[in-house]
Amino acid sequence: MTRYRSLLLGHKSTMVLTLLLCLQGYAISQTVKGRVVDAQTQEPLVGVGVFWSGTDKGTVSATPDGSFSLPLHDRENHLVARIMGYENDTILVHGDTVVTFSLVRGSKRLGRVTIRSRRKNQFTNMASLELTEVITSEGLRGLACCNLGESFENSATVDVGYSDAVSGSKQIQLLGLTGVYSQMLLENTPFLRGIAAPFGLGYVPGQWMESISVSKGVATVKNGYEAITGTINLEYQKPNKDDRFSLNLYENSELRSELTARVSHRFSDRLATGLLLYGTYGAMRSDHIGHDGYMDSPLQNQLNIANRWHYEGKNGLVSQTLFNYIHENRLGGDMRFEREMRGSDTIYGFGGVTDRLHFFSKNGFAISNTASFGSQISGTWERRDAFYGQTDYSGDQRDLYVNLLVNAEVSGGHVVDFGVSASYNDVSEMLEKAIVFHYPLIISAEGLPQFFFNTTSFVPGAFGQFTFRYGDDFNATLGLRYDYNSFYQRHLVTPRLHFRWQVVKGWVLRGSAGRGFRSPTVVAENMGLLASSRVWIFDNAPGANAERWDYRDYVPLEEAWNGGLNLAKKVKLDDDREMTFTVDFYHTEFVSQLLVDLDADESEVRLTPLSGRSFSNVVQADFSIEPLTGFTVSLAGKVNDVRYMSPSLGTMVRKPYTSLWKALMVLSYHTRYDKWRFDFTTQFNGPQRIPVNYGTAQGMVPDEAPAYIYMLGQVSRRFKRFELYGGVENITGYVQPHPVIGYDKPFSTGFDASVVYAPLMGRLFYLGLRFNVQ
Amino acid sequence: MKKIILLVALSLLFVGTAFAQKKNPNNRTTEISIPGYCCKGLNATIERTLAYERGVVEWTLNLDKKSVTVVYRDGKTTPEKIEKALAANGVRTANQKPNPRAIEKLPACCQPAARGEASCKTMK
Repeated sequence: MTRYRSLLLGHKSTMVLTLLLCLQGYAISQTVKGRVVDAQTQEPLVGVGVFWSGTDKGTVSATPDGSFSLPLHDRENHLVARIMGYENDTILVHGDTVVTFSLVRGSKRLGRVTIRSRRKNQFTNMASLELTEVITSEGLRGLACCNLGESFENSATVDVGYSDAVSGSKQIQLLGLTGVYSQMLLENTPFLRGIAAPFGLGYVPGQWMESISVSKGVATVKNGYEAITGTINLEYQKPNKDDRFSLNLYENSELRSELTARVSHRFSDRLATGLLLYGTYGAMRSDHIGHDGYMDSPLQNQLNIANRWHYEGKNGLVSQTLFNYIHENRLGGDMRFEREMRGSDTIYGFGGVTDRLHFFSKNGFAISNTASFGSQISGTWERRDAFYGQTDYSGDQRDLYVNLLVNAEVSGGHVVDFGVSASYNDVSEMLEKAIVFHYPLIISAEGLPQFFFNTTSFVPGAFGQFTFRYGDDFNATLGLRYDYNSFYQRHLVTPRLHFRWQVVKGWVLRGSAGRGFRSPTVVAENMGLLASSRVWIFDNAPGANAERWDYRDYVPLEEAWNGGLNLAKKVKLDDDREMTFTVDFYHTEFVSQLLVDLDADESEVRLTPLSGRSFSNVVQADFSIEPLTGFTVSLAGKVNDVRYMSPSLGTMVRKPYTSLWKALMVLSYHTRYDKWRFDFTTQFNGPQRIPVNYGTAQGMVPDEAPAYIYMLGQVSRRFKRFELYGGVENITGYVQPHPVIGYDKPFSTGFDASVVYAPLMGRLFYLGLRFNVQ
Repeated sequence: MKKIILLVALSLLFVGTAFAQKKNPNNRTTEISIPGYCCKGLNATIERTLAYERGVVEWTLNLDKKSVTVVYRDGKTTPEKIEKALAANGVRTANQKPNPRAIEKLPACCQPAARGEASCKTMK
């Protein structure tokens, strides 16, 4: 949040007042005033940056007479003036005074500073507390990226895979663990939680996004007790900065059409609104993979519309609000299947209809020049009706999240953050499927039994964190939060520690450690397994109350510790080009986990609380260099060691569908002024363990998924007002030979479409057009 | 790697054709005055705009004269069109007012002059 100089208190909460009293002395703002002039001509200079040495507190001489005013800093008294074309000047300031900077022209400096005309695709943030990989909208332009699920192809950190062979839904992995252990945020508010897990990545159109930030390891305590393996924060395009109109049209060789449009309007300097639209339509059925009579990917139609507002008040008040509605319709399975055939016992079909409403509103203002106050509120209403053959699923979710945050700088430049939050989550899932609860045994005599899972939780919490700063070279944040989960009736204490240390110039060492919790949404998170004849068996934890059935004994609150270290180095090769290198290691250790055990029998899914160890160790190295201006080479490699104590096998086993290693090479070349742009990515995916399934015995599925190469490439040509792009996905055409096991008898045992270890889409060509009006 | 070499060769070909257009008898030269051209920060925006303008053959940046000299193909574009294109990207010219949204994308030091809030005299 930006801090503004103001003393706005008025009707706002007494908590803020209390804070102000605690931080006495900071509300009284003393200022330094002055002018900046050219030493030779004595003409005033406008646009000069004036700031306290070594801090980010500063201003710009904006008035025609070159004057400025800046609040005094409690710790720093060296005031620096800087502008291109002149030598920097520093003045030692004592108290409330008026100073004059006389800047001397320096031609050397002028020659050194050049502004890059090209924006970067991806970069690593060196100054932030956490190691953050940022994928920019410019980077997203180099990918076909129709949605969030397709936006990570140039990142080694995030792995994306299909969850089953009929629904087309994708899942991400961070640190070798399912995406649900990381936290998805939309502009720092909770996003895609609960039942959104299976299809959620498809709800974020690529062209809506301004950036995606991925950070590994536990996050700071500000955003709750989740985020065990990492955080993915999405920023949508903001109406106050966006172009007046943008349009993207896309068509691929499977005849899927997409349209994205953004319109923004500014009523004044303070108020702006934006309308974001996205629609996709696909009606062609194809069966190139396996020739098994099943569609390679489902027919998918989506309408996604969002409206957002941005308001900046006079006193540093910033308010942002977004409303989003999504309607999605998917139909897959047998090539002959139509929606009216739902419930058929001869032709297998998959269908899913989702309606989702989401909103957030963020408001913040400055309390004083060193403290700010912010509040967030977000909520979702989502309903999904789906079927996998004769298995019916319906999910309902209502959630609301509110928080209040205070950020203040205290003496010595250290920072204190604290706040309160409350969330309400009401999730209901209804499933008609053969399910067994180990105790007591519930299975109905006639037809398929119905199971209803409802979890309503209210989670109030409070947090505080202290950031210790020692110059620019070292800072550490220690945070603690307390929450009460009403569903699990547990008091949750979450400690988290982060540090950043510039060991020697250019080398930054960072570390993080902490605890995290998560309540599973049991069916939605494992929805791909519904596309099989596997019976779901819930095993209760050893020592659970055998007399009384309790959902919480079967589906425990998950708990884990995560810790990691990373080292980053950035070298500037010349004005334009740089080289970055990072290496990191993260360890996750589960205390409590709901294991999805597929190894007991090919006819079962066993959901069993962990007894024994479950951990993940991941080492990753990234290297990026620009050997020639406009040509970037990025190389990355990682090794995943993810294992758990298998309840059925009694030994430590590798987590299925997690590749042992992954390597990535991204080549990107831009001609001058970005007229032509060539992007080429090669992924090397290591072997994966495949759990026990019907296909192995029939020779349709190997014991271990072999390593494979996946390539994609795109060429774009920019013109004055528009840009044309075309590309190929899965250039080598490597696909899973038999995606649907037992496709000839889908309603008997032996059917399994949930074994997915390779791409499910062959070579795909696409063409697109982008058009925008500034 | 082979692919990249090919791509690089391909792009060089395009640059080559651009240079070949120089000697055309329809070429005209105009000097466009840019009052807010106070620092090198504006170079990228000016060059990028001209690079995408139809009929523009080549240009020379004159920071000291606060202008840009443009060689263009007569019949394909006019000095007025070129000025309009610059203004659309936030560059204030002698005859055209810049697009306020585009100004915000300019480097911070170029913005006051582009808005007309300050002249280069006060900037320098």
